[in-house]
Amino acid sequence: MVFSSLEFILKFIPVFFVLYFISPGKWKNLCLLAGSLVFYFYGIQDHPFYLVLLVFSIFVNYRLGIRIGRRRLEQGRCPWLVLGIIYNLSWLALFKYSGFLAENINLLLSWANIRGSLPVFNMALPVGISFYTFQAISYLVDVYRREVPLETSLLNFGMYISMFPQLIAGPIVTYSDIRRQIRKRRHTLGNIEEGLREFTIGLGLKVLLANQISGLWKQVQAIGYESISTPLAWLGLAAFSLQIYFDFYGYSLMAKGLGRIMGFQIPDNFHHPYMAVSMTEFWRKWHMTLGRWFREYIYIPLGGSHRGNMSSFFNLFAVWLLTGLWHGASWNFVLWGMALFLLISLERLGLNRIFLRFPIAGHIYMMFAIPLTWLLFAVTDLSQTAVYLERLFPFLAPDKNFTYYSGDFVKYVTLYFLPLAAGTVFMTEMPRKMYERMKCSFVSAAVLVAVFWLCVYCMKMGADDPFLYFRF
Amino acid sequence: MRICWYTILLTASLSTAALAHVFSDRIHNISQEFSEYSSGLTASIGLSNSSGAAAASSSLNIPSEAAASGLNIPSGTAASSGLNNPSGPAAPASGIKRESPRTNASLPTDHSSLQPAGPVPDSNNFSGVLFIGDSRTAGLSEYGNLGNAEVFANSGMSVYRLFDAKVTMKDQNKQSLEQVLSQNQYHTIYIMLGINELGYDYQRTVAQYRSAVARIQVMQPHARLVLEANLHVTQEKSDNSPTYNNAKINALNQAIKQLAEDSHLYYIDVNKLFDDEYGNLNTAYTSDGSHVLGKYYSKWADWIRNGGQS
Repeated sequence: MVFSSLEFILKFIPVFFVLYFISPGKWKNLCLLAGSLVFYFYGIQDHPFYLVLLVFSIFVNYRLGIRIGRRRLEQGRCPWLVLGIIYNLSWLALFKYSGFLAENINLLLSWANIRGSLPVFNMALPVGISFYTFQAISYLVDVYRREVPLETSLLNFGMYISMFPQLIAGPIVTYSDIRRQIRKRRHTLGNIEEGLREFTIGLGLKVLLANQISGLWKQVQAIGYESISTPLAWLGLAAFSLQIYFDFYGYSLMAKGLGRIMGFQIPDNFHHPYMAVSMTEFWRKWHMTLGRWFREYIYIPLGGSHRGNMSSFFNLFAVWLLTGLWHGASWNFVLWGMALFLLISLERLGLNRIFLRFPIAGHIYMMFAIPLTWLLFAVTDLSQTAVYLERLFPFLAPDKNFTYYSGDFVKYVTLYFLPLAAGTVFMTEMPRKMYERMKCSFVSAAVLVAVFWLCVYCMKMGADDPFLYFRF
Repeated sequence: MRICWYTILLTASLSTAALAHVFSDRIHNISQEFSEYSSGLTASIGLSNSSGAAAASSSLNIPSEAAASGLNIPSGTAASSGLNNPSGPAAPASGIKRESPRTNASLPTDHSSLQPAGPVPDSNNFSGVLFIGDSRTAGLSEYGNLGNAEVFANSGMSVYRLFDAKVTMKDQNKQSLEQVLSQNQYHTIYIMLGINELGYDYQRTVAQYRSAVARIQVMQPHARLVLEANLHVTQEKSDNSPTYNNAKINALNQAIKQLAEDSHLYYIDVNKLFDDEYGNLNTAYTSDGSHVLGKYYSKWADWIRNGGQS
């Protein structure tokens, strides 16, 4: 079930929250766990095995947590941690990467003229597996490092892993984020009000901005990259950049709002990333919980930046390679990760100082770096990426003749002017600042109600919901 | 204590909506009675009554799965056999009598001199030609070479909105189809409509299509009309959509072909160019499954220019 769908908003939410709030204190966690499993099941009806997998993983990680957490001695804990990590990653590897791996092995075999090939199973990914796998690993490592006490209740642990606000698309909530709230949290009208407001803002960003802008990139794809003019090529990337941002940002706000209604403080995932002056800063503001995960569980264990320059760059390389792969099992994502690594390394070597001193230069740099890196993310077929680059920079292929419709840029700018302009405004800090000032007023509530019903109308009219981060 | 305005407003509006939904029939009856009462009132006062148009448009169903499921196209008809099997899907089409009074009274009779469904090659860079259609026709005009042709098309065009829509023409003026048809005499008019109506009731769509064609014929009695088959969608899109699938497209195309034969109009089928061996749109020609890529529109335009036969 997608958050921005009518069945979620008009059916699941009312029913769930009524049940949740009438449950007596001790039963609320059970209610949340049960509701989350129902929510998950609804989304994976065609593959009921995925629910079994989720429940089984919850149980396995719970038992491993006990093993790792209860031992007084240092020895004997590590193998359990390793086992846990391998267990969690194996499912991810199986569903997400086995097809990719097999295809590439077959490619290598054919280059080496060896006969025979591996069968390639491209399985449908269990929804949310990339997120809950990382969540489970973070729990096991945190217990091992003695940063958190182990969770003694299977029910609470299950609720932590599967709670529906963050199950499908994050944010990646670590156990320490909500440890206290699992046991005891406040259910106040203030929380409900805050939570509903955040949820509505997220819904508005998703439905009124992301979904509306999404048509532009879809059109560019439908026309085919060989047949677009250079201005349209840039416009298309700008639209994609706005679309992916509001899609994911909106969804994260909805998750945060839903958690807040129940008294949970789900961490922020975005902090106006498009206002950053460097890629380094950007990735501290984009998908913050993922960046945090990679820093805590890959970068720092590898040594971080404490072991000298060569080592830091290698560690950075590992992080970005894995970040790219996490986003998708395909070479363009690896290339995307590598491009980010390149930019961030260059920045580390000195560009950062320039951008911090001259933010304008940083903004101009990011105005190109952001859409160009998203190009690698958006187009899976690398030969098509090459075509797109030739359209972006016509001097790369001066001899090629591209036919395109000369009025295409004007046509799409006119068609999408409103959502694009709104997107440009909302990517700045201004709207949020204005909102914070008038948060308690009746006017802001009235505006949000209007936004809510406008979203319901748009959801009713449109069937498409191209949530990009959903194949994770 | 701060008042939780948003919670209050949201809960209130949701409850109202829920109640309205539950009692929607009662409310519908009440509003109908009210509008009858008020229209009777205004008629008796002698005010001009524009509620007729309102009533007509309110009887249009919003395309919904329920409407679509009312179709009784035999689902066993494979996409590939749709075109070659006139007896199946054609049955509902021919069951429609031309009952609209406009059609009967004003059908021009001078088309018997033209060859039915023969080639229509263009010899004058499409001068004096008008193209009417939806986003595919718009694509043809933007990415194919339609020469001097006039194009009345936009994304979302349908036979239900054909005479209400206004489109920016070559001279940068926004005009309705009536204005376009009354300002110039065309010797050939191409019509490609139908995909955007797949969510509506089939019989009504065919009837509406027929009446639209008849109305165009009245306004352009000397033009030869070329009815174009609607483009197929890919197999993947067809399998995954209860509305936009090739069985329904074929049924509609069959009805259009029947109309062309009955009225001695031309009929051309572009699917010959772009189909795969199973009668679906070949995935090599498309990225989104229902439109061809920009670079193939020139192939399409040239095909039309050469007469629209393979």
